[in-house]
Amino acid sequence: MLRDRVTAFEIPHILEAICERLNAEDICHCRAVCKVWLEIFNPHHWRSVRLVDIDGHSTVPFLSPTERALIRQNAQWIRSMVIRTQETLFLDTPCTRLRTLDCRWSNGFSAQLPDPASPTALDVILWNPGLRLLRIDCHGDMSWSPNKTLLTFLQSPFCGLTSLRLHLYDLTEGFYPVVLVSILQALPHSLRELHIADKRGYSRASCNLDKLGPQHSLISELASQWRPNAVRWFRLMCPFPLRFEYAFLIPFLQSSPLLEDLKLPTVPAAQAQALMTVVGKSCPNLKALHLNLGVMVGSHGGTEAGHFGCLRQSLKSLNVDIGMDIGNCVPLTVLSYSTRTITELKLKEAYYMTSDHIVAILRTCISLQVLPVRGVTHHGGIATRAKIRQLVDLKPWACTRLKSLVLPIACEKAEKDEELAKLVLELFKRIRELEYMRQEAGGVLVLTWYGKVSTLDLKMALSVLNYEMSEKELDWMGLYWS
Amino acid sequence: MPVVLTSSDSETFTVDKEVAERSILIKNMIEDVGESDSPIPLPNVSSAVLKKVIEFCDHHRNDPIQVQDETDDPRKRSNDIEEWDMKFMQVDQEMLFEIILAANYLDIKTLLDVGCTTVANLIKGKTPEEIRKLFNIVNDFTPEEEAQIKKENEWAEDR
Repeated sequence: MLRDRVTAFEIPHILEAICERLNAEDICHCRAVCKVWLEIFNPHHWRSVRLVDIDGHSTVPFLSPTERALIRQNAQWIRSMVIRTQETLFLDTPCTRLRTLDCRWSNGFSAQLPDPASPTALDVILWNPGLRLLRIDCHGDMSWSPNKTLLTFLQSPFCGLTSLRLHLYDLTEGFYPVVLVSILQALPHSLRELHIADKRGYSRASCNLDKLGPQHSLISELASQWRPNAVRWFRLMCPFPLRFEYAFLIPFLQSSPLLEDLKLPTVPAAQAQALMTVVGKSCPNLKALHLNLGVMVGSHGGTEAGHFGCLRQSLKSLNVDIGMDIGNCVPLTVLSYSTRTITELKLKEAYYMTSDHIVAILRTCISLQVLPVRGVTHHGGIATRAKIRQLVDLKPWACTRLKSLVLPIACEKAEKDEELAKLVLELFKRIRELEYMRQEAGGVLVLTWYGKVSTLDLKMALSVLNYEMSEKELDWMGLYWS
Repeated sequence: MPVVLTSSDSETFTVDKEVAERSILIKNMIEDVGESDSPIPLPNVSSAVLKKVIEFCDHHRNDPIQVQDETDDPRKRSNDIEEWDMKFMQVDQEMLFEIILAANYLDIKTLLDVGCTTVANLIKGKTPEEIRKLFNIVNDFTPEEEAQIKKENEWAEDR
């Protein structure tokens, strides 16, 4: 009887699951039960510590003195930690085995900044050569002590960080480019993943290079000293495109030769060409590109195909948000270099995607797995019978590895259109033959319906054709109309 | 399509495939072997325990399969158990631990979670002496060792 129990407690993940549901005091009591339990309820169970609640407030004041003491005593065992930047719990009891550190500033930076010289939770990183992932809410003031700590850490020879996520806040408008540029230039060679989120919000969108005054020259000076980094994955998120973002972005991209995955916020027309030229020249390994060619771009011709012609990489994934007034062949130009490699193609608001484009993509992109065609306006998609016929007659089907396809089909006639229904049915059957598109394989096929026909009409048309389509199948086929 | 399971004491149970496949172990076995009428032997599970496990799987047959990383953050895990599960777990201790071991062997995450939560709730708020009594564990510390541990854990005692 006893043996069974000890066995259950001795299976590590069972023990872990039990311990996760106990507090510090309970674990202490368990350690005092017997010799076996003293051994198995060990400090390793303090590997993950979260001292911030879901709203970003510190939970430290709510810890019992016992829990607080136990956490401090086991600081050396902590592997991952979420903590408020202002927290001082660990300042005299170093954590030395951290792998992941998440430093939050509660409520962003709406609160008054503390004395810039005071030590913070971030100081623990200086004892942690094993730290791999760091996420930090970062303030724009260079004299703010966590910024200095971060820079010291990044520049130290033992820093082995692989992932850095910066959430930038700024109260003193206009300073943070200096902080950002300083951090970007100090990136350790071990870094693979960089994520920068600008949290200032729209209200601060007025900030631009011209306003920076003397700071401007400082940035140019800093920008002239870039050294190559080894970042593979880069995301920049900001609510509003600013000129200075591109001022640091271009030198940064120029020194990122190993970049594989790039996601940018809204690209203003004036910067698009320069940016794409840099990407084309400096990042030969790029595999995935996420762009937002926003509606804010003023006039036609801002990002014409020619601007993208420099991007000759074979991409695996292309994800573009396109505004209404963008020249219609931008993604196709990029695509022409990627027909054999592209697996994922997401084009949003692709109203310019004509039948020709879609048929061309389905005929040439042989590795394609995901193609959602979504037109916000009721254009785009397959508009003519001839084009559906072309797809049906495609032999052999080019992109056999298709797993997800959303395809709008237009219908002009108001009355029941048997001919069209027949064609669509053929197309449906054709796609269903694909390896990953069979119902049991979990493929997703949605034929979006727009025009004057309704689902009911199609069902009736299908019944005329004597094709017995089960409700489940119809559901799965996902016929929608708009 | 029903599946036949055989317990360690050679009792057979016929269950719906959907129910049996709550166990990742059985699901993988079925996938590997393909559909067949021959019973699946479960040499580590007795008929009494298997009966309970099937009862649990049958009750939860329509639940979504839990994604592994969903409860990544231990502090977000709750100690609350659904009423049905709580009643289900009102068994003697021997059975409780056998269910946990079976859930582990059969790879049924939800059952393992419910089992571990039940054990944790048993331990919560008890002194070492009460825990020993609860699980019928002999105190094998010498008085000196006990004093030492007490000293180490001094700050953990209620003062």
